[in-house]
Amino acid sequence: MVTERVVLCGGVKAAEAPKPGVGTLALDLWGRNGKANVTLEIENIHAPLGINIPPAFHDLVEIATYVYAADQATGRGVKDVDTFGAKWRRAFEFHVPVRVPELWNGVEIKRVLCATLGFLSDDHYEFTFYPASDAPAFQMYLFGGTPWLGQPDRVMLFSAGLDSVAGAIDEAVVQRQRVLLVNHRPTDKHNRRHREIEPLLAERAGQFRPQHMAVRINKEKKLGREPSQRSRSFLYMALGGTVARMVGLRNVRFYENGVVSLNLPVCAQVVGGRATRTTHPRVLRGFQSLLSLVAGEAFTVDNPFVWETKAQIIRRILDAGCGSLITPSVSCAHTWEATTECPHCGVCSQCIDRRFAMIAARAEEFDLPSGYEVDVFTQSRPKDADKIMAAAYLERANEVSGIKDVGQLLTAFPQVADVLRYLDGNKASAAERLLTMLRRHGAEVAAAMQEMLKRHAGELFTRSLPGDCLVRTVCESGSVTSLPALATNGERHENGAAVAGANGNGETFVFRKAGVFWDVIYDGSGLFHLDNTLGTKYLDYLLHHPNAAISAFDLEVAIQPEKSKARAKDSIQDNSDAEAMKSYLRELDKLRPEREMAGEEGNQAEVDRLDAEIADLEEAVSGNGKAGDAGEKARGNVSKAIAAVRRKVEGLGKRDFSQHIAQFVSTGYECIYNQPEGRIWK
Amino acid sequence: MGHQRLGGLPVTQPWKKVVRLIADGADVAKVADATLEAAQRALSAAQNDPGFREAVHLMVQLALAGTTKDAAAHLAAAGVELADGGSVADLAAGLAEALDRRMEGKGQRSDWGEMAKGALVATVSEFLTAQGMPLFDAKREDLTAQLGPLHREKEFSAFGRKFFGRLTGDFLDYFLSKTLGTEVGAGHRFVTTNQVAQFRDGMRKHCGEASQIVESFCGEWLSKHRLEENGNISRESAEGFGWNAVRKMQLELAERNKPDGN
Repeated sequence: MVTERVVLCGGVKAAEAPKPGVGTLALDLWGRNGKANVTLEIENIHAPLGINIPPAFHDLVEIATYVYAADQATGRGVKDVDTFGAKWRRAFEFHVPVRVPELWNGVEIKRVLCATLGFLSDDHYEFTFYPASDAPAFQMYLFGGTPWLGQPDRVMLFSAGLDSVAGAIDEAVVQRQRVLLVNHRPTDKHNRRHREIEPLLAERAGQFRPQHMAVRINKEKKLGREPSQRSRSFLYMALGGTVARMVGLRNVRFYENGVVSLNLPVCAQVVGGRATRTTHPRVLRGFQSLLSLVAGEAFTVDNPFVWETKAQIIRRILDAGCGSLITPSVSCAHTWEATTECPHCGVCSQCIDRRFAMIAARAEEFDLPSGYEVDVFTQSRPKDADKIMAAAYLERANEVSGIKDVGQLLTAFPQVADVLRYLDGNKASAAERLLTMLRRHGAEVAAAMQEMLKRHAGELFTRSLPGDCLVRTVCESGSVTSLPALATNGERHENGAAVAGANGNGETFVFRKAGVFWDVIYDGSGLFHLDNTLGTKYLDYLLHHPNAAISAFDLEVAIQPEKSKARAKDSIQDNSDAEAMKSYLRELDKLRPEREMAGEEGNQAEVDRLDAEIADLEEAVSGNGKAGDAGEKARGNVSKAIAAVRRKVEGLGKRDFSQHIAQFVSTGYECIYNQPEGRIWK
Repeated sequence: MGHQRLGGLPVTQPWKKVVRLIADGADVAKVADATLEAAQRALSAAQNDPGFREAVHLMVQLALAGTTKDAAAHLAAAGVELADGGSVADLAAGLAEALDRRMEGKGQRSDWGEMAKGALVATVSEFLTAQGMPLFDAKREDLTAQLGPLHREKEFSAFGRKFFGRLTGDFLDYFLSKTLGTEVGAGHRFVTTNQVAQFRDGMRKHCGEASQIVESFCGEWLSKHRLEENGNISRESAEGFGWNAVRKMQLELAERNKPDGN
C-alpha cells in the first residue's frame, strides 16, 4: 500500500477525520498555534526586499517549503521489492492557506503543479487551497543583511557543487555578467563550503563578483526522516523565481551537466524517480509553466549545460583559469559522512562521476584522491549498494558508448521518450545531440579507466589490490570462475575466444530441448527453433546415439514407451490404421518426385535410398489397404515423422541441416545416424 | 543531485535461494526460474496493475490504428497524442505520456507499470524502425500506412513476442540488479564486470528465446478477436490477453529449467 499523508499547513484544520491508515502531518511556517515547526530564512541583501514581492510568489515560496518539508518528514519504504515499489511512492493531500486562492485553485495551475511534482518526486499530489487570513508579510522570513551589489543580469541556483560552480564562473568570469546566486544552506557544512568558494569566485570575477543570497530551512528534528529529497529543486525554483521577480528578471538558471540532468538509470532496479529528476528537461519545462502562471507573464527556466558532460564542464573551469575553485566544490551526496579532510565519500554515484570526469579532463591536481574517503579505483566497497553502484556506473557508460543511433538509444533506454518533447529546436537534431553527449560521456569514462589501468599495471600484475576494486574487476585475468551459461551469438569473451552459437561456450552442433521448443544450431550458424514433435524426438535420439543402429520399432518405444503395450513387435495388425495409410500415401506422393529429381541430378546414392523407401511404402499400402506388421508400421511412422522435420527445416531456410539429415540419417527398418567426423551434437 | 537509489533483495528464503544460486555459478535458466518463484508475491498484484493493463491496451490499439483511415485520430481517441508528426519518435513520446497520464492517480503507479511502459516504448522503437518507419520528420497522415502491417498476424506475432520478451527480461533484471553487482571480484561468481554483462546478456537472450512461446499466440489472438469483436477489441479482452501472455512466459521459463527441457 502507498503511504498516504494529509498535510495540514499554516494552521488549517482538517474538515473531516482522515481515513483509516492515512497519517496526518501538521506543518506550520507561521507559528499561529504556538511555535512554528518549519522555519524559512532568506538572507536580506540590503535592498528593500519583500516590498515588491507579489502575493502569488509569496504563496509559491510557502507552498514549496511545505512540499519540501513533507517530503523529508514522510519516509519512503525501503522494503518494497515484493510490492513493486509501492512503499517508495507516497500520496500527499495538501491543505494550504494562500493569499491568492483564486489563482491557486485554478484548474491549469493545479494540473501543472501536480503533474510536475508527480514526475519530479514519483509521488501523487493533491492540493486544496484556502484563503489565508492575516497572512504575514514576506519580511518575517528575512535575516541578516549583505551589501547590495547592484542590479543583477541573471539569477541562478547555486549549490556549490562542481556544475553550479562552473556555471557561476561562466556567468561572472567568462561572460562578465552580474549574477545573483541563490543558495540553500541546510547545514553548517554547506555554510563552510560556501564561505570558501565566495572569496575565490569574487577574486576571479573582479568587478563582476556575484551576489550571494543564502536560504535556510529548519524543521523540528522528527520531521527529517527521509533523505531522498526528490522535491528539493521545486523549492530552489520557487526561491530563485521569487528572487528573480523581486529584481525584475524573468529567468532562472540551473546549471547541471546533461548526463545527470537526463539521469538514465544505471541499472534495471532504478525505475521512475529512483533516478533523481531534479533538472530533467520535463521538470524544468513544468517549472517554467508554473512560474509563468504565477507571474502572469512569460518566465523561463533553463539549464545551459544540458548538452555537456561533467568532464567538459571541468574543462570550462580550467579554460577560465579557475582550477583552484574545483577544490572547495563538493559533489558528494553523502554530506552527513563528509569531514574537512575527506569531503567526498568515494562510493556514491556523484563521487564516482566526479572522479572519472577529473581524470578524463586532466584536472586531478585540483582534486586529489586524498579527498575521498574510499578511493574510487583501488579500494573495496563494504556495502552492497555501493558495490552495485560502481559496477552499474561502468556498465551504463559502456552501454551508451556502443549505441549507434537514436533508434537504438530509445530501445536501450526508453526513458529517453520522456525527454524528447522537452528539448528545444528540431527534435531530430536535438536527439542526435543528446546521443553525442552520452557517447562522449562513455568515451570519457573509458579513457579515465584506461588511464587508471596504466597507472596501476604493476599492482594488477602482483594482484596486490583488493580483488573487488574497480581496476581489478574490469581487467582481472586467470579467472577460475565459470562463465555465464549464455552469451550472445558472435560475441567474444574477454580472452578473445569467439563464442559461436546462441548459447555460447563454443557450441557448433546443438539439438536440444528448450522449454516447449527445440534449440538447433548447425555448424555454428544461427540458432533456430523447431516445434516439439515426434520427429524432433526421434531425431534427437539418433543424433545423440551416433553410429548405433536401432530398429524403428525400438526407436518408437524409446520415445513413446506406451507403444510396447499397444502391440507386439511381431504382431500382425489386421485392422488397417487409416491415419497411417493416409500418411504413407502422402509420403509416396512426396518421395516419387524427389526420386525423379535425384535421378536427373545423377545422385545415385539418393536414388537408391529413395527407391528403397518407396518400395517399402508401396508394400505397406498394398494388399487390400492393410498396413504391415508393427515393425513395418514403426518404420513408416519414424520415416514420416523425420521427413516432416526436414520439410520444416527446409521451410526455415536451413537447407544445410536438411541435407545433413537426408545424407546421414537412415530411416529404414533399422534407423541410424552415421556420424561424420567432428559432428558432435550437444 | 543525480542520485540514484539502489536497494538489495529481501532476506527471505526464496530470495536467499536466488542469491545462493548466483554465487554457486548456476546458469541463467536456473536463476530465472528461481527469481520467478521468489517474485510470486510481487506478481500477484501485477495482473491488475493499471500501467501494465494500459500498456497492453495501447499495444493492441497500435495494431488496430493501422486498419483505420486516420491512425493518428484513432490513437488520440485512445489517449495517445502525437505532438509533432507521425514518426517513431513522436509515437514513442506520445505513448510514454499516455501511460504516464494513466498512472497519475493515487496508487496507480508501480515499478511493474513503469517496466511495461518502458517495454512498449522500446518495442515500438525497435520494431517500427526495423520496418522502415522514419525515426523523425514524418507526417501524421503517413501513420496509417506505417502502422498498416501491424494488424497482420505475422507482424503482430513478432511485435508481441518482442514486447513480452523485453518485459520479462526487464522484470528479471529488476530483481537481479539488486544482487549481481555484489558478486563481482576475485573469489566471487563474477571476477570481472564483463562477466556480469555477459550474464545479463545471457538472461536477455534466454527471455528472448523463451518468448517464442507467445509468438503465434499473439498473432492468432489478434486475428480471432478482430473477427469476434467486429474489428474493435475491448480493453477487457486486451488486458486478458496481456496477462495470459505473461503467464505463458513464466511457464515457459520454468519449463526451460527442467533438466532436459521436458
